[in-house]
Amino acid sequence: MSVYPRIAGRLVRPTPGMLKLGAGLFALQAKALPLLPLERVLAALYHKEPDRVPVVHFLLGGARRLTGISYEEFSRNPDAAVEAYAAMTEMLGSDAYYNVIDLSVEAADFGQEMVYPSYSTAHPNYMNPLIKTPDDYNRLETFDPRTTPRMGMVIKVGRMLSRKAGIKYPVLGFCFGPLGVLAMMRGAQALFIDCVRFPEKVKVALDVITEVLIDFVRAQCDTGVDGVMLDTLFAAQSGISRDMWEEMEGKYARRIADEIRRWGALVTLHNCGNRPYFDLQIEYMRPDAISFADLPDDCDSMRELKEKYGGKVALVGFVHTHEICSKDAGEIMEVAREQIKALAPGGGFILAPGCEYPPNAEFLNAMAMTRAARIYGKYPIR
Amino acid sequence: MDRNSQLEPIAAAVKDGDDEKARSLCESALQAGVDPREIIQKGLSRGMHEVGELFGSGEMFVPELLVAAEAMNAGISVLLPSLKGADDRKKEKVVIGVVEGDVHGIGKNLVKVMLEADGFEVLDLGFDVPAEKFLEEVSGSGARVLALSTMMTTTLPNMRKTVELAGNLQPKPVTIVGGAPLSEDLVFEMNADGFARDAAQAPGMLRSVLSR
Repeated sequence: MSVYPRIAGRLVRPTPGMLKLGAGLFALQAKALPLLPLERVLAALYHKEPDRVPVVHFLLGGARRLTGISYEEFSRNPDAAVEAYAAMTEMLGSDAYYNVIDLSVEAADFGQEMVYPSYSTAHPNYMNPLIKTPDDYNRLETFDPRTTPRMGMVIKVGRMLSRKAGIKYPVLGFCFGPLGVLAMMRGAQALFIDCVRFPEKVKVALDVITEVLIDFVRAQCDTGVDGVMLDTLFAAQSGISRDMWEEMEGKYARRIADEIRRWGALVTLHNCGNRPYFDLQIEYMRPDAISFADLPDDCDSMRELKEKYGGKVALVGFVHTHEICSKDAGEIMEVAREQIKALAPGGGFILAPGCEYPPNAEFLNAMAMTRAARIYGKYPIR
Repeated sequence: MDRNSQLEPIAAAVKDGDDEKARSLCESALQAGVDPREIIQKGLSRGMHEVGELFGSGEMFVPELLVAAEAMNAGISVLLPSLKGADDRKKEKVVIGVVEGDVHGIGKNLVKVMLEADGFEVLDLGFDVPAEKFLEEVSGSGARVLALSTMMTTTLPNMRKTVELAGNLQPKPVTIVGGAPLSEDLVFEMNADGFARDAAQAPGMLRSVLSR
């Protein structure tokens, strides 16, 4: 949203206490009147029951199809990206704007060579990683992300989306976690091996990347985004062990999360790994919400997830992308209904895909998610 | 020194991801006259199997699996010269690769390691592999198995196309698939013969499919 005033050049945001109070008032209002998306999301994030379950679709590169632009244009032209996001939000009835271009934005500005395919999301040229040997980790240098092409674009898009959102939509920024950024410059396989064999060399790069990412989230917060989503992909059983995550990412991610919080913005996490480590991520980053694709490593059911974590963090998820690819709209509504029934009572739940909405998938299933939120997600949940 | 006391440390070195130790222990075992096939089966492969089991049960993770694979390969590199002519058993050939448009190779590499540890001969075509290239390799090598990987939903159609084209080959290869965006429904829909949730399950799944 763009309504935060500036004092001495700095955005002034409501305190968490004020937000909590506002969320309570919106929950009261919801008993009589429909809420705006911003009000709905705020109530849900603060564990109050809005008028209905909010829904976001994480349709990123796929949004380009609505405005007829190429992947490359979406990845490099801020005006085109904002137009695509706005069209997508309106068409699908999403309850938030989010500013996620792709996962290689940060790596590209460190100097990683990129590929911009016509049929898919931009990605690093894996044949030419920036970090070719363990001795290259100390080659990374800090820079001002406001001045670089891709992170600079994300900052610009954040400003434009915040302006466009007004008081209607919340806006969410995005930052890939330090280990993820490094994987984009070294290749995940080589990075994993280096984490075992040369952890101290890897940490030299992580220190530099973290400095830049702290500045990146600071710049995003200054655009007026309401929160920043930090992607800690490897904090899951499909990534690395709990101990390794604490050592190689947890302490760095904590500094980034603290910076987001220091600027008064919401800290949200995204982790689409299998069996994510909710407890560790909450301990290190104290997030307001976690977007996820699978049950945490210490929960065996949605019910257990709600009982264990529903009071600590808002849950954002978790229609799996393979279901979006393989099921029809009716089946997706059924999946969503089950999740709403288990996770939405009492608030603290936003319906979403577990990861990026498959960019080339049909939009019908995204619409089915919205429909499910409107029909089955009406509070009180029955 | 009995055989087991020579082979067990090799398995342990693989499990620990200690490539230097795996290499030197394999050299010592060879010098002591142990059959290189036995070193592989009861040392290197056994270690890798144990790692696979720990990976499958969530007690070991991708980085540890990768360094274990490095240790296994270090040991095999020592044994290779002695294996020429010694290992004349016919191994089941598997053509493996990541489908066209996808450059994520890590899952495919893990499956390759697990299959090799289980005694398969794996012909690795790398990533971003066109369907035609897969078919050419299967026909040319006489492989009975085609293993396809993808991590992206955008490249699922290329996997589907490759499976479909492979179905027209004579003889038709057994097609197994894996990757994050896959589900059993999708695998069934694309008519693949087998699917494993993770690399540790791949050898067992493939043996079961081949025995049908």
